[in-house]
Amino acid sequence: VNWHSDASLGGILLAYLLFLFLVAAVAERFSRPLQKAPFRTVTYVLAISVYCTAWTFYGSVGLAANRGLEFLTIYLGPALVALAWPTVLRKLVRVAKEQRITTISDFIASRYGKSSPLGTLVAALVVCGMIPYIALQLKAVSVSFKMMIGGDSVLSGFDPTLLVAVTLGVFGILFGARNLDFTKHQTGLMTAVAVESVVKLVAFVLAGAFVTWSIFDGFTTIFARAAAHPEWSRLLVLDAPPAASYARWGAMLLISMAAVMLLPRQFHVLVVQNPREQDVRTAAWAFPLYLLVINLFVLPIALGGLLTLGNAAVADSFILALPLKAEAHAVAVVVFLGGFSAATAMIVVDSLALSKMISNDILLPFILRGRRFEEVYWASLNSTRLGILVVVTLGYAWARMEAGQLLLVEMGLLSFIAVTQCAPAALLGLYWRRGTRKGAFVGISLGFALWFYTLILPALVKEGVVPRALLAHGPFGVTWLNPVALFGLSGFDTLSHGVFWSLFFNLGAYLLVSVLTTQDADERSQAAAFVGGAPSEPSRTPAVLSVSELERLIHLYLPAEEADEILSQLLDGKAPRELTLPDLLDLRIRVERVLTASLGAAAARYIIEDRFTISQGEARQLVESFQDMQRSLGKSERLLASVVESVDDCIFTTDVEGRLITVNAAGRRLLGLTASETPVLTYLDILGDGDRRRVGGAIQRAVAEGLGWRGSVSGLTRDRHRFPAHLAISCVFDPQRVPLGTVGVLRDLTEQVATQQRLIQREKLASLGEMAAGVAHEIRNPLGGIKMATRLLSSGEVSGERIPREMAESILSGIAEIESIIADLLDYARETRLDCQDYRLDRILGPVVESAQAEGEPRHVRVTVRRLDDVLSASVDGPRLRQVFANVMKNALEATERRADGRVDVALYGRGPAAVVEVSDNGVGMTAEDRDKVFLPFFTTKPTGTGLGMAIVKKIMDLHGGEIEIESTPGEGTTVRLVIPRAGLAAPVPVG
Amino acid sequence: VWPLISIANRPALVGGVPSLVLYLFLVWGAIVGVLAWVAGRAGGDDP
Repeated sequence: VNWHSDASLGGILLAYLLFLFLVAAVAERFSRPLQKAPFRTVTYVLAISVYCTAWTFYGSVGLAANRGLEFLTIYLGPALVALAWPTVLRKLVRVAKEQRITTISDFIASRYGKSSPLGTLVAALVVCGMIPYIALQLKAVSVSFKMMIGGDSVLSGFDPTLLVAVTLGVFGILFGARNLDFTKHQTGLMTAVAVESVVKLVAFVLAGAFVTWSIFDGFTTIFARAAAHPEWSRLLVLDAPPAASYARWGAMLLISMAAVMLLPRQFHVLVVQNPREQDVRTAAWAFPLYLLVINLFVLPIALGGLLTLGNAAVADSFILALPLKAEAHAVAVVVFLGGFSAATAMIVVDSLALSKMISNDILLPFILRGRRFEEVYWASLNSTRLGILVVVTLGYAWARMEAGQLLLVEMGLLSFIAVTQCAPAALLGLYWRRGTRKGAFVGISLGFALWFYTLILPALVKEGVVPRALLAHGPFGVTWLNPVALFGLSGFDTLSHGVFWSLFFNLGAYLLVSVLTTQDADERSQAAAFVGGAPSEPSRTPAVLSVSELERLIHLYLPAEEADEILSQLLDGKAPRELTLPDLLDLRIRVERVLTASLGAAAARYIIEDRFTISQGEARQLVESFQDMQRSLGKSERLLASVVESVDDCIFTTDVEGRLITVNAAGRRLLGLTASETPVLTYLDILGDGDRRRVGGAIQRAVAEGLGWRGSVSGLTRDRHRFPAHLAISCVFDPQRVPLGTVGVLRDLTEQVATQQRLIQREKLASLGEMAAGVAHEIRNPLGGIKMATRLLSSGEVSGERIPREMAESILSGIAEIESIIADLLDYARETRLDCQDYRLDRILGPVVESAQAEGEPRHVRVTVRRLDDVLSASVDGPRLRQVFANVMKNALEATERRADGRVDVALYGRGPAAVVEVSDNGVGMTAEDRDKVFLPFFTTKPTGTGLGMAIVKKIMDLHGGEIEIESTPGEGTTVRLVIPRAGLAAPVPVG
Repeated sequence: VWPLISIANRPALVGGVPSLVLYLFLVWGAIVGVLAWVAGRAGGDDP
């Protein structure tokens, strides 16, 4: 094989690229077994080793030949920071997975309240910082290719770099950007990257072994010869400044620590594509081990190159030049492929990560602002794919432009320092809750400004783009603004000087501005999500979207088949109707995360928050239906108001404290309020003084318990005029049963009471007539006897002593009878006042029943107690009520005494708010006609008695506000029920 | 300023290898070993 032919070398390159495509395709095909341990972990560790690029492959040797052990800092930094990975990286991975973060710019934007401008800033700056790094890789491919084919080739003008660049772009599109969701495991891509890590490690170790043992006789020979050399012996120790100062070592360690986690490709592989959080622990030792092995032969190759070739200026190519010089072509080809694989892996992953940043954080905000939502998904996917080609092409352009004045390492370090500017905001943001968006914005902006000023400008001077005078005298001759001795800081090399100032301003501004500014609600909730612990206060309630809205969102921004699957996952088997409000909130957060994985945190928040999915037509419809609703509500409200106004009763509403809010027109008339008057009254103020004391407490208690109240009261007008009324109050609640106040109806009963009293008056007159008739009837009997005796005595026909005396006695007994009737009548007619006290009714009824039993026994009447509730008490006049009970019992005994099986049954029980004394007998009974007259004085169906007993019963019961119910059937018996009210005139009633 | 590195920072060969090189790689290897040991101990909960 002619190794020098560009055709055969081109063929090898093509074959290798095909091999990569094959590996990726097969891995995609068998992605399931590859995602299990230990493959998963091995792939993860090897993919992280994408950290070792063409820079490691060629640049490390170059750096070692020029600056000795300094090359190690780029690997010692990651090895040292790996000590902290089990805590720091694990937290980073956990947060990124929770928040579905896909890039470092997305991470920072999300941490500081999903800020779109911050994401755009970081993305733009990081992309700018990474282009030289990609250029470095392409340049390395180009240089190594030219070395392989040698200067004498006919086709030496052919440069495969562009071809390689485009092929890698296509590779990235096929295996990386096939889906917008970068949080999905890209098995094919990761496996290919892992395989490339194996290829470059094997190639490097092979080259090292070849140089060490084939060209030389082992380590000792190389080191002994180098140690003996006057100039190169200095490479084996740390030299004095500025050649190898501690400051430079410190700066390099620091930036490589940050870079290994924050470089776009590192973040993608290490954080976004992390298969499981626990794999971080393995990576923490396996990755430093990989770095150790790949660095073992750097120094031997560098020293071997110097000893053999003698020129440190071309040291970047020693690893390829040594086997070529020794004519070991097979080794040279392997080394070339190793360098190629190191470069390609980096380009593929980096361009993928950068294109995602460009798409999500730079282009998408513009697309969303343009409100072309239907195109978002495809625009975003295509811009990501196009972004890969753009990044690769930019790298190619830079590589062609760069004239070769910079060492590979110097180009790479510029990118490292650029990405280090993200470290304060990203890493402190994980642990320091106080950091604000403004702080991050100012810090990162200043850091990048200083990066450009102190590092890029000097590099441009070296390239000859900017005049040299800038570094000698400063801009416009201002020496303290000199980019390599800013503010008079001298004695450092350019790199550590730049690292110091950029990080000083970055970190300083981040801390200072964060302390001086405050976070908004979004920042606070995101800070809590990233730093951990409970949020300091509840974040603002996010807008709740309906399930159909969420469905539409997902369908709009994700491909149809995926959208359905995600929806069924999100709903978790629940029907949309079953979802509660908290479910919907949760769903909204999860949908936002799904969108975040594809479109970035800021864009996802933008889409969900502003609900851009509502088209203008729909928005118009919504507004119209809302206006319709308002109109119809207004109509029914007016209708209701006119009904309330036209009612004759006083209708009022009160607040929860009972203060009157509204009173209708009838109410104002009744209470004597003018139309304009705002009544600062409570419902108690419209009651008469007596009623306020009597029922005020009861009303307040009932309303406080959420019950209503109704009963008779006396109302009170504004000018202290009292009127009889009926009051009904109901409580009003909102849908959550929180009391809003009360609605009351006060009905004026003045006229009804007057009518009633007229009626009573008429009844009284009527009963007076009947009573007079009864009295006349009662008196006529004894008067008849007196009249007859008197006539006999006055006739003189009676003689002797006995007869006249008998006559006189008969007259006297007649008079006594009349006197007794008059006494009864007076007793009945006398105005009676009750002396009410609280009595237990069973204690009044009990003795009466006992004496009735004693009385009934000789007459063969059995008096039994069917029921005697002992908890019934009432405010009554005890002695008078005893008289009532006794009268009723006496009637019952007299009605039954002529029966052989005479029986009287007594019961005391509660009925609603009243107590009932029931006396039933199986006596003679009475007709309906008799029953109507039973309460008239002197009405009696019995041969003895004055007929005043039931009249007195009626009178006393009336005074107590009680009722008497009589059921009677002639020949079967009579039941008398005395209904005694227990709690005044009214009682609370449940409402609603 | 950097005592950890200056311990071995002298122009001498130890077993044919420069002392600083040997020192750095040994420390590095030790770090890897410790991390692997810690990960192996803590890795018990990994399924």
